[in-house]
Amino acid sequence: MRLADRAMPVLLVVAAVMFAAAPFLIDAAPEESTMGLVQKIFYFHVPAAMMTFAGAFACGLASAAFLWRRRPEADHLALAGAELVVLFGVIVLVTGPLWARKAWGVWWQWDARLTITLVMWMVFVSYMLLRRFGGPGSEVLAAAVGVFGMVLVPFVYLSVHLWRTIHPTTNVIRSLPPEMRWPFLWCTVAFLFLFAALLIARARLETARAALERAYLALED
Amino acid sequence: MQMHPTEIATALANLQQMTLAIETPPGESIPGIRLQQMTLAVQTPQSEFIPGSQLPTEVLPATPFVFIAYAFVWVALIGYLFGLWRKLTRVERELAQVATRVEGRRTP
Amino acid sequence: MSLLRVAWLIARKDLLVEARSRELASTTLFFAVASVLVFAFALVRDGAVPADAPAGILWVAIAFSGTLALGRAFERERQSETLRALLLSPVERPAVYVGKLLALLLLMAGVEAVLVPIVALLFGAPIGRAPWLLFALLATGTLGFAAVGTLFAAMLVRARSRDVLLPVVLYPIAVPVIIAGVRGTSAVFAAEPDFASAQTWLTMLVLFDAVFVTLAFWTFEPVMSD
Repeated sequence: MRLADRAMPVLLVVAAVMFAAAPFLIDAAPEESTMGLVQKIFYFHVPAAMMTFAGAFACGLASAAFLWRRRPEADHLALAGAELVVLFGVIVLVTGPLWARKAWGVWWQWDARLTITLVMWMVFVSYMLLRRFGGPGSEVLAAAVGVFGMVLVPFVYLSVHLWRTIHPTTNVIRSLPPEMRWPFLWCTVAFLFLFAALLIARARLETARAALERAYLALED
Repeated sequence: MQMHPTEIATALANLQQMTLAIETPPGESIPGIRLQQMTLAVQTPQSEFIPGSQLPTEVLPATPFVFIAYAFVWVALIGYLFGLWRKLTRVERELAQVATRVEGRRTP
Repeated sequence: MSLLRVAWLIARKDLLVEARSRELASTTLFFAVASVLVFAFALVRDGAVPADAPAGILWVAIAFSGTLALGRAFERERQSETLRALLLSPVERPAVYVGKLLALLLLMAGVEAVLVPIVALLFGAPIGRAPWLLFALLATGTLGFAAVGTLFAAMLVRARSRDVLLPVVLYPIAVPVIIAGVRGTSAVFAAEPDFASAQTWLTMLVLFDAVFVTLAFWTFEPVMSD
């Protein structure tokens, strides 16, 4: 945890710098021929979607570690991961429809990827609800939900291929022209650094809260 | 999505017109998306004819959507970071207070 | 005692209790039919429902009534503190999970055996067209739903707000099962049936079941011990 604590400010500063530069890079990138200007939402929308999956894996792995070893830091990390899935998920689910309304003419489509992304988001919202309202001992129960949530991810990708979909498939990323690929990679790395910084910070907050509770209990003795 | 045969014929004719009017951009899958997009656009019922050279997407201005999307992302991320920072400093301040109280108890 | 033997004993216990009162079977079945009716009234237009509706209605009824059965089955355990006794007994914990799962599956099988003909009757769904495929879809879908549901219902027994939290945590995770079940079933029921597509969805369900039954089996012990 020591290394993570020291890395966090660095990650945050780097992310901040990259985010500050991002608008210029995005502006310089060419407009996509059919969708035009609105396609530029892609540069934040897709990295945010990637971070929801990163959060899901962080939560799932930390939850598994907590279930089997019961180390409190694992639980704090799981909570941080779940909260970030909710945060980045909201970003995806707001920027997506804004893009869709302009590009497709509708706010929402019940195609595979949108649907399962919404489902994934709801799994981790249910995780947060369980922790908030489940009463004592709900960290263990939530850990089970976290593990299941993580394992659900490959089924997200399965469903994209099983269903007819109008959502751009993952091929788009591989076939990006260089003028679009570099801003996209820049934004992805920026999001990744920010995600890592937020994950560490949020886990640290939870650990600090647990320490505070213990301190209050020690005071009462 | 069910369409009357004559609607389908009109749609296909429009589709052909649009495909010819647009140059091919770099990137293999983008034409595929365009085709799917246009198919979707054509399938929404029309009350009037729109010339093939005028793409349906030009009806809505893009700038507000892009602006709102990016503004939302910035607000959400900065808001969350700020909230985290505030809670963290508050908890650490309380921890320090409790630590001094525990010390105060122990010393006499 | 082997795991399967213990699981069967536990399932048998549940089924015997149920056979005497028939409380769960009758209420679950009635609730399933009531759900079907509500959806029918919501969707019927000019005397018929939209083409894909019967499959959707069937699976929603299964999901809703299954959740109810899960809640009730574990509420019973909670009230007589028998779950605690089960967990304290010198048997492998996963056997308790398998036993409860088996009991619930048999209950749902009974409910669906009545529900499916009723749906066929009310909406003209062609259940005789590919009965084994339909059976396989229903079996694998119900198993997937029940596997996750049994785990969550068991772990929520001692939690606060357990009644509302069960659907809250279960439904998002069960959605892929519902999607596959509905799409597979409607492919079978369609005016021009698409059996290849239905078989693909069946394969997905089998995959889902394999993964999630195993996962639930592994996590039961760590989740239930405090």
